[in-house]
Amino acid sequence: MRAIASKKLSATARGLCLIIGLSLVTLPSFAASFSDHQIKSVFLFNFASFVRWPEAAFAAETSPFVFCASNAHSPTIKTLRKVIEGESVGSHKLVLKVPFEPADLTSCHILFLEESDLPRYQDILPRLSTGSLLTVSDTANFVDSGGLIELVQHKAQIQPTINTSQLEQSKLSISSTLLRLANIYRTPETGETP
Amino acid sequence: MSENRLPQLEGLRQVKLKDDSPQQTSINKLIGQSALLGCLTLSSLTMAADSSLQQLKSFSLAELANLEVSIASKTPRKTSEIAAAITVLTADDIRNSLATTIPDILRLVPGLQVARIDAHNWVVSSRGFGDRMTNKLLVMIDGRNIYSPLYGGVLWDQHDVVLDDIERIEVIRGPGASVWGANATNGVINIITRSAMDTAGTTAMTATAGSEMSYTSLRTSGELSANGAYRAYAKYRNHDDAVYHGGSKAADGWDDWRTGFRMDWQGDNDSHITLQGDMHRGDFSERISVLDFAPPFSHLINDDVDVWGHNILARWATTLNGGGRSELQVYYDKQQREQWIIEESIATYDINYNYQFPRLGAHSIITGGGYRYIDDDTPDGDLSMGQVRFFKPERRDDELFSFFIQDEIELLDNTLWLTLGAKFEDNDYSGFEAQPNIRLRWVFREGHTLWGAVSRAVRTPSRVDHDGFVVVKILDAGPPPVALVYQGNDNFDSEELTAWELGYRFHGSDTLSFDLSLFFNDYDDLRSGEKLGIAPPPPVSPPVFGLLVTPTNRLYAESHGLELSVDWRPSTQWQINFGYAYLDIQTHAKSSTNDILPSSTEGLSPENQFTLSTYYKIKSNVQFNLIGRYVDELPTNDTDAYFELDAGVEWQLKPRLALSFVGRNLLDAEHRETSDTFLSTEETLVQREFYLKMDWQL
Repeated sequence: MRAIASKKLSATARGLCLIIGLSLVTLPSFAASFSDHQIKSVFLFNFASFVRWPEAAFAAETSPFVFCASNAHSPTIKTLRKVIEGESVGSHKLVLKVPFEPADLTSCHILFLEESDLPRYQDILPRLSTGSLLTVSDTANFVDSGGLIELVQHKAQIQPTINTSQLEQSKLSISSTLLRLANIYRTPETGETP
Repeated sequence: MSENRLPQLEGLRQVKLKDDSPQQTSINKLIGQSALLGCLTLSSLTMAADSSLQQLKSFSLAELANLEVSIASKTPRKTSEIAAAITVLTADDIRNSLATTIPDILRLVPGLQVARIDAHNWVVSSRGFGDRMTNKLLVMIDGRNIYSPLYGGVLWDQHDVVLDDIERIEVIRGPGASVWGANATNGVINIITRSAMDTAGTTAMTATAGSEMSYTSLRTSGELSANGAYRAYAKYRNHDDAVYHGGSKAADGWDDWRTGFRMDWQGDNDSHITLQGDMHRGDFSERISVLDFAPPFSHLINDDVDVWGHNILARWATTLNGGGRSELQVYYDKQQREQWIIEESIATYDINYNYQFPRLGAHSIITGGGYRYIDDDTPDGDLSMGQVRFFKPERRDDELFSFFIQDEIELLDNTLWLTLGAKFEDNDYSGFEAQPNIRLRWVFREGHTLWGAVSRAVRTPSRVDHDGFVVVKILDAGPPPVALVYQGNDNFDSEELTAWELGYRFHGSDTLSFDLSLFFNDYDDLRSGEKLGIAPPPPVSPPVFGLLVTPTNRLYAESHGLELSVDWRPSTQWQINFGYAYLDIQTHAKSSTNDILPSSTEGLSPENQFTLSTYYKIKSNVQFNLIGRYVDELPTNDTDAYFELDAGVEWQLKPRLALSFVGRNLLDAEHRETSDTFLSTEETLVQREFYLKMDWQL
């Protein structure tokens, strides 16, 4: 019986050593669980500070920073509303316009499009993305149709894909921190491979 | 990278939102204070609103991009749309259960009876008949059947998975036979692990109570190609001896390890391919009483139980051109076991095909068929040692053919559905079996569902029922000594059930759901232990007499009961679950029987069971869980009713490291949950335990 006990102990010790050894080569990640719409909404929130808008994008020093979306019942939008509550970037208070009037589009800073919105915007997407409007969607192949940032789940993670070709034609600039961790997409027209 | 073409904006990293927002700072301060107080103050309750979001907001972008998306809400079909008594345990429920083994997790399901015989033998049963060999509950892991055709029942010490990789556990109480087939008489449990696509990175988990218990698992996963992913794991568990009555150290310690993999590919037309396999080996101890041919004719031994096995499974699902969905699954499973009472090697080959027709008007039709080949080997025991166990024949191969069809008809638009279905099987023990059911589901108001069902299900004979010859236990040490000898009966037929069920569900609110099911079960041809008389003593001196008992179908029974569960979420931080189950079974002997244990099954399962659990997020990264339960007495084996309480604190120490401290069975130093009424394994007591758990995403 003693032999069995020592065998068990040493096996436990081996298991622990394995874990501790492996933990020395760690990458940041997280053990708790969050839903996809929570993660997406916090990404949207972060974009407000990791992307720089030209001064002209704000009517005044204290004008709000505006997120625009169509569907008030979407879980991502509902969560975004909670995420940005009481927050501001610089002197600009964060607000959410949902649903927004097409006429208001010029006052939007981030436009979040969901799959159901895409048919309406598909054709004008490249044009929308040339000004100071950050177009974001959680639909696959969004960057191919001229969108700026795609937030799509790859395997178990949500990672942004940035269309840098389109970005160069816009008046926005993206922090290198965000660019480093994002997947980069380039439109084939530029002559380079994606 | 095109970084050089863009202006360097390192400065932007300093634009930390919360530094700019005075409101956020005050929230942080308040959360900090309440943490200092370390109790549930009102301020933390209101101020930590949406605490998990606050936690998410504090992450760096890189941490955000590396988060694994929770799969808690992913169920293929809403449970509210199923006309059966179903409970789905999600990954979150499993995490909250404070349990470290599958049977312990199942204690959360209202109406399931879970009782520990010793450190590794369990009773897991639905709607009564709770025994070590609960033969009326079918259990599957990822579509692979783990119900033993040899004994009829699940040997829980042979099966396990990495608990964090479970996507959900679906538990259906009541017959599921019209889809799942025979032996799903009183319930079905489906343990479903996540697709490899839904796991990322490397995770280590260890739960340890010092030398008493320690479970460790390591899992790593990654991409196989653009549309494929793999996962591989290893898990080691060991458990020290528990105690007998009176506190002396028992001999029921064990250890086991398992390793396995899963690969998934996603293709066009919603096609999905899965390939998975596992292997395991375990070494368990238990104390049993065995026959001896010399005085005092029986003695206790510490039996050494060795189990090992492996399996491989492939599944291919795709949507065809016409819109129908086709799914093909094949698997091979081998289980081996060596202990005093049995030595077995059993190989299963299974192929199964399902086809869901494209919707035709109001009809949603699904059909399928399968073939299973089982090849076993059960060597004789060593008679000179008193190890009396023979199977006639010693080796056997059996075939099972099955076919099922089910039509769900939408009688009234979004209001009333009628489901007709049946499974037809042909097995080598009882021949052809038909298991039909009819179900009706009525959404009489939005969020309110009423359902009812009538079904027929059978429990088919096991190999032991037909072919076994085993000394089960010593009845009387004599002289002359008398042993209880079980002798199989080729004429033993299937046990039959006709079940009547009624249920009501409220699912119209985000904060409250309510589920009630009522049932009346009418059983016929239940197994009785028919006394054949005294067997001639074997040629030994002094002679040992055997009281021969053989299975016949001379009992019938009625049972009725209810299961109730309430899930209430008063706020985003707080969840309260309540479960209650009531059960009454009356067994009767047919006039022709001389069954020696006619009423034993009546008192094998608790009449009343309650559970009350609360999960409360004290802070964004600290959660406190309390789970209380009451289990009624078991008159058949003199087990007293008991209350128990589990408590645990989970602390998300760092974004990638979570620590939990858990105390289980806090109300008593030790308590008894049941005993082995089938074999002579000596029961041990369930002790109060404290363990520390570490979850690490590497």
